[in-house]
Parts: sequence; structure tokens; C-alpha cells
Amino acid sequence: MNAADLRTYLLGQSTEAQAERVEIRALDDEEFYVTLQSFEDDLFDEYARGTMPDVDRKPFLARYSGERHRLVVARALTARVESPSGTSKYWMLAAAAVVLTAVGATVAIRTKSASPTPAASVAASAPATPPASAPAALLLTLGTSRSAAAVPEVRLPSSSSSLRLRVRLDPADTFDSYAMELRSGQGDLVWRADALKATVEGGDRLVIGDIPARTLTATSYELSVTGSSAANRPEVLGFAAMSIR
Amino acid sequence: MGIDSGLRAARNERWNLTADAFDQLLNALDPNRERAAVAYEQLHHRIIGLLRWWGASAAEQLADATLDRVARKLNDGTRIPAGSLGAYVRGVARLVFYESSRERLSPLTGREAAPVAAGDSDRAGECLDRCLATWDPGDRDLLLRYYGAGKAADVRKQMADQLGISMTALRIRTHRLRVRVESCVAGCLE
Repeated sequence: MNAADLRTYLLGQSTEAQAERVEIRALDDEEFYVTLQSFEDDLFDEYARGTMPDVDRKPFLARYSGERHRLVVARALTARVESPSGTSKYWMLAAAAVVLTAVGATVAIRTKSASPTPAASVAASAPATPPASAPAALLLTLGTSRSAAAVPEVRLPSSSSSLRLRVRLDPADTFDSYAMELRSGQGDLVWRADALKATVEGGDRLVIGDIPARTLTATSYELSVTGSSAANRPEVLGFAAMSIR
Repeated sequence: MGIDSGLRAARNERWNLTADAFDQLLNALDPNRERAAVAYEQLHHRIIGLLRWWGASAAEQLADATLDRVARKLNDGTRIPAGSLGAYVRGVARLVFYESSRERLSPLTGREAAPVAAGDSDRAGECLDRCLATWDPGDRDLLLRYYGAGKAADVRKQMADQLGISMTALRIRTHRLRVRVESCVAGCLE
């Protein structure tokens, strides 16, 4: 059995026969069992770093989303071992197709576009003077590319009272309620909203949260979205990174 | 707690397991009592891991039930071919798991997902630092380097070479450190 077989097993993707082989060996051989557990550690580490392939994220969360302490420790450990230069990248987990809109402007950035500098595109397209006290808005879609180039930069006008995050959900992610958490690049909780309900707009299921502008500074952030329902365990649905200018 | 008293405690917790049956199980694990005690604890731990992978919500309880049943089978005269104990135990564990899934008897264990309080994640970094600060610097550096920057395969190969141990040995060593830090941080967050 190679590393790929073990990973496949841990993600619950093995056939019954393959799983049986892994499990019998795990019961017979302590060293093999501990090795398997160390591969499990690697999965948590990958997830926390945002380097886990998209195809593995769902099965990972299906099996491990209940292990909140391990997720929390993985994240803390990842942050701890990152470069002390302040170029922490642990928060750069997942931002796929990202469309940035500012109220009163037609600004759209697809992070998979050829442009490596989405901020420049925003700046060029944004209105010179946004309406007074207008909320800025950001539309995020969870769960595809996690490249650093995909992280959108949001220019938050000083006149904005809040930043409205509109997060597009996977249609399969149907829960009674949702929670959002926004963290700084250093992992500090900046804002949290619970008991959010999904809405449908233009065929998309969205969950929306308004972040007071006063809580935001010009830095990098990570958003996480969790779904909860009475019948199921709370599930981390994904992450998205953004940067405020 | 000594080996025998630990084993007695394990047995006494399970009222329906006779001393004879328990001894038979230990003998099946290893004729040497001390090694059997270690093997028992390790097997118990591995069954818990397996049950968790299957999604059991009361894995410890079901692991106890699995070993009880294996012991009773041995006491009833069931012969497990040499080298087949793992397969046999897995079969019993599977059965116990299916039965528990049907009966829904297991109470909540605390392992089920519960929303983490907002403060928990904030404090995790502090707790991690606090835990690591009490460690031997060698262990701390090993863990942080293992999960540190760089291509994991290259970093780990270099570490194993420097330590003069196999990659598997390195994996096992760092896994134990990780379990230790997870436990410490969890305790700190409680």
C-alpha cells in the first residue's frame, strides 16, 4: 500500500475491499496504524494551509468536519510555522471565481482571469466618488482555486459604512443556518455572524453578511463559512481570502 | 498504575467480561503478560481509531464492546488462525458498529461536532505557544520544522537524513508530538 492508497482510504474513497485491507493491517500492525494517522495529520495540515486539492475537500470535510479541535490546532500550527515576515499565507485558502462589486459601479473581477493583479483592475474601474455611506459589496464563491493571485483586493471607500459579503454557496450545501467568520491574516477573529439564512438571487444560493467598516483595516483577511442544521453536524463549507485596501 | 492493576481496571469497567475470558484475550495477544498488556492497550486504541473512521459517535464504548465480544468468543472456544486476529477483530468491530448504528444506543460523547465558540480559535494560537513553550526545544523544533515551510517531501527527507532515521520513524515521531500538542491545546481551550 502506498501513500496514495492511504490517502484514498482516509478520505473515504476506497472500495470496500481496499478499505478492508487497510483496516486489517491497521489492527495487526501498530506502526502501520500510526503511519496512517500521520497521513491523517497531513490532511489536516493541507486543509489548514489551503493546499488541499478541491476534489479532496468535500470528502475531507465529510469525515473530519466534526473534529473541530484538530482543525483549530492545524490552523494554529500552520500560522505558527509560517514566515515571521508578515507574509503569512495560511489564510489564502480558497477563493475561486470572485466577483467584486462596488455599489454604483460595475466592477467585476474573475479571479481565474488572465489578470494577475485584480486590485489594479478594481482601481481602474471603480467610481471616483462612491455614494456617501454606501456599503461596498463583495461577491465570493467558495471552493475552487486557492492561488495567491486569486485573492481579491477590495478598495473600501472611507464613506462606506459597511462591507456586504455575499457568498455564493454550492447548491448541495443546504443547511438551516450559516455562520461566517472573518479573520485577519494573523488568525485574529475580526467579525462573526451566526444564524444567517440563505437567499436565492438569480438562481444562486447566497448567504449574506454585513461587516461594519470600522472593524476593517487595510490588511488581508480570511472568511470561513459554516453550515448548521438540526439533523447534521455543523460543516465548514469553505474559505475565501480577500484583502482590504 | 501498574500493568496488572490497569488491566484489572479495564476489565472491571466491563461487568459482563469474566476474568477467564479476559485472560484468554490477553493470551491470544501475547503469551507474555507484560507484552500482552501493551498489545491490549494498543489494539484498543486502534479499534477506537477504526470506529472513528467509520463515523462512530461512541468509539471508546464500541471498542470496549468489540474486545468484550472477542474475549467471549475466545472463551467459548472460537479458534482464530495465526495471523488472523486483526481480520477477526475487524469483523467483530464492524458488527458492533452496525448494531450500534441500528440501535442508536450511544449517547453523545463530545466528539460530535459542536460549534466552536468564537473565542476558541482566537485562543488556539496562544494555547499552542503556551504548550510548545513547555516542551523540550528538540521536540518543539522537530514538530515546527516538520510542518514548516518548504516542500514537505524534501524537508522531511532532509530531517530524516539528519536524524539518521527512516521516513516512517520520522512520521511516527512527529505524529506522537502532534497528538501531544493537540491534547495540550484542547486542554488549554477547555
